Amino acid sequence: MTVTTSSPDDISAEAMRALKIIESMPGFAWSADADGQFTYVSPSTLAYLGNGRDDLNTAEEDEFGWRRVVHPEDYERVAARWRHCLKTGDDYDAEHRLRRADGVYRWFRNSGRASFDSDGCITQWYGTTIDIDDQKKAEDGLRESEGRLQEIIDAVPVHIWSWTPTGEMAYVSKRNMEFLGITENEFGDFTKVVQELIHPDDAPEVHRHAADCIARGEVFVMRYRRRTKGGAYCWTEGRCEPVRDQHGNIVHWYGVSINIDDQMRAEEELRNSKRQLEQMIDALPVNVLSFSPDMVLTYTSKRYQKKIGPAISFPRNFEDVIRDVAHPEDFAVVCQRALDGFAAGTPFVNRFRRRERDGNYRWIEARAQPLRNAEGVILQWYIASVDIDEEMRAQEALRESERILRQLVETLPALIYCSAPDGKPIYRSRQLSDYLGFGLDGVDEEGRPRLDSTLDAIIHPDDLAAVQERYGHSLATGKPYAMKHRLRRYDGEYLWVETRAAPMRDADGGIVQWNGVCMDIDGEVRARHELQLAQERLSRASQAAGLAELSASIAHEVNQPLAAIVANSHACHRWLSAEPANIERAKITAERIIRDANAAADVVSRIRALFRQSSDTRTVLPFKDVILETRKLLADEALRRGVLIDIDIQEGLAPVAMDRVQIQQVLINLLRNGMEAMGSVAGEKALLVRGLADGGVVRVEVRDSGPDEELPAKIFEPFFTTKEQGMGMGLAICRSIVESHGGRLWAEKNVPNGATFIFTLPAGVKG
Amino acid sequence: MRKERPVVAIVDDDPRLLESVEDLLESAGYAPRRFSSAEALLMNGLSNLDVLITDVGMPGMNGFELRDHVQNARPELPVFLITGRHEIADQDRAAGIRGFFRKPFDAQALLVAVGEALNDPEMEDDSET
Repeated sequence: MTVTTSSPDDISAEAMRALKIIESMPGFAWSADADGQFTYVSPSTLAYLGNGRDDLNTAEEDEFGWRRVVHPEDYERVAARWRHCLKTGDDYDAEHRLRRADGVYRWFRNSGRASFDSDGCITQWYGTTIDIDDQKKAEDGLRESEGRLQEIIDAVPVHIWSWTPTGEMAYVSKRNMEFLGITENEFGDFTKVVQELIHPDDAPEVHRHAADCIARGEVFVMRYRRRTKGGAYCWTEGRCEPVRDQHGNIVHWYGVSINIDDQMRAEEELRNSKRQLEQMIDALPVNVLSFSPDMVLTYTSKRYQKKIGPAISFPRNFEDVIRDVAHPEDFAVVCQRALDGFAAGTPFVNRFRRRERDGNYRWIEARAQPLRNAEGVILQWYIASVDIDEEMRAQEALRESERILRQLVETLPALIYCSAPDGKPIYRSRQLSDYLGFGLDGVDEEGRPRLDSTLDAIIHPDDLAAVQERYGHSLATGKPYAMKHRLRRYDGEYLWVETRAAPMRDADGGIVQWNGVCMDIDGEVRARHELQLAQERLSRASQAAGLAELSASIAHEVNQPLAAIVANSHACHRWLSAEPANIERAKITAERIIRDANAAADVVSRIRALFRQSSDTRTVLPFKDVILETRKLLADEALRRGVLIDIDIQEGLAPVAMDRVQIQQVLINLLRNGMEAMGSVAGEKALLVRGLADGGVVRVEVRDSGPDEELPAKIFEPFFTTKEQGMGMGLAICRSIVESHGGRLWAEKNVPNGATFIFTLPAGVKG
Repeated sequence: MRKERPVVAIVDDDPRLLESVEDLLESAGYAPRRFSSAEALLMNGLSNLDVLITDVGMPGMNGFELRDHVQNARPELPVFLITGRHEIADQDRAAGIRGFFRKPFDAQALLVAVGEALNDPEMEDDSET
């Protein structure tokens, strides 16, 4: 202390007062010279020590005299400091124990300050010695309890750490450091600690979040991976909360790190397995939904979300979900079936149109299955849906095409039926049923096979045998069936129909069923019959009339004028022979003779014209057409006679230049001859017409299965006939026609029976 | 003159033949009556006829039917059939019939047959001359 006075008295008085102040303070005061020799020690100090001042200054073996009162454990430290300060003039501060007069040591804080002269040399030291024993003991107690706390902290199986209010790492528990393999020196820099110890993927977020929490004073909670001593990362949950003073200011942050690695790994595994499951579900071409037992949607697969629409917000009940996606026409049925299934706890299946993201509906099949626990209680419903749109559309198209086909069949102006491979009817079109007056039912009476009774009931008795034979033949051989016969109408009237049937086969060629069609040809047949009658009357131009009739007609045509001429010439002779001769009448009669003779000549020339070789009536025609047409003309007659006419024309047979009417006459004549020849034959009557190329000519054969007889040599001569009717002109005229075409006609006997008439015509175009 | 000329009916659907036979009969001194069909003849009645000559093939009633009909009504009336279709003449029903002629028939033979049927000596004589 520095006391400034103006007079010695004043000084003395002031000094005295100062001394008084010093010595009445609750502490010890002292002063010492530059060498450290006490120049003043307050009386209270001496009283405490129970020593005189001199004792304190009495050095002993180069040690300070106060060595005796300072605790031996403290002396070296304090003495060293004091020596240092004496030398340098630095402030002296030391805490040490002083022995009281009764031998008890108490803690004191000793502080000395040097005062210097103008040269900077120490002139004096002034100091205080203050009892800090109570304080020191409190500190020791605190330190001890802190140590104990530390032990506890170090012992608990959590990692504890603390931040300063600004977020500096202030403390890391020992266990924590051991775990991390770091020392205290390494965690000073928080940023660095984070960078080094937190997994690189987590570090930025941890750093950001921690800084955020510190700035806001909010609790920090985070899960992240910490690197352990071994270098492996370990999942940790870090929690840190601020501690505040009474003003609410943060004094410190205390944190713990809890090892949650096992938990995290378990969760991770769970997540992985769930993800795998989901991936699997998403990879499968099905949509998966799940519903809780109370029908609330709990899960939708990604595929579903992607396909069906924007993410569906949970929870939603089943009805809402279905209402959303099902086609309005399907909704009611789908919903009802599902609700029934949910209620009964039984699996159910729904097929319906579901709206997709793009607004289009596609057919799906959804199958629902409950998952039950061991007690059988339903835990969850799973619904898997599969797109069946293409199948459904294909089915629909199939149904549509079936409908169209059926309509087609039902509206075709024909009577259509199907029968089993054995001939039993299995389908009749409406038109056929209407025609017959009954469908498939109601014909099977008296236990007879349906086909038999059906045929009996609907085929004209005259045609029945032929139909049965032909139909049976087709069923047995699989050959197409074609037949003209009369079919009974519901009102009992028989109309002519042409029935054609062909087998429908499966991939292996087996007959699945027969499909047949009956065409109403009644009008046609009747018209043709009429025509035929007319043609027969008009024998000269008739295609269908036989040459026998034709020749008879020719004879009649010639005989008529001839008879008139004979009668007239006789009459004329009589008029002239009369007395007197009646010239007028004779003249009239002679004129009539001329007229009728001309008429006869006309007839002859007309007949000649009919068989004349005339190039302008010849056309180049395929033989097949001519033969088929001929068969058509003779179809009714063949049916009546029970003769089958088979036609076998070689493919690609060259066309022939011919007079169609004449060649048809030849064919009609040969066919009719063949049919007549078989008139007395029992069993199958078959006429085979073959057309084939034979060198440069086309060869046509008409083969019958008539009786086993030698052919008469004169068969082609005019007026030769074996028949009771006819003039025997037919074959002669045929030969003349064929020869006029540059061909030949002859007959051969068949083995074992029957005859074949063969004619040839030059192939190709010829004038 | 002497007594009335015998009436000979001729039925045929061919007008040329009808015409020529009428001429022939007229030249032989008969009174011919022409009918184009059996029905036409029957409508006229048979009572004043002495001989009937008919064609066989005709539309409507044919010659055979007409003959049968006439034989019922007037059994004594001579009937001659002529036909242009020889196959008809060959048939059983034509066999054994006396007055059957095939066109073209022998005009002289027809007149002889008609004369014989009428048993008219004058005519016969005339015809023989």
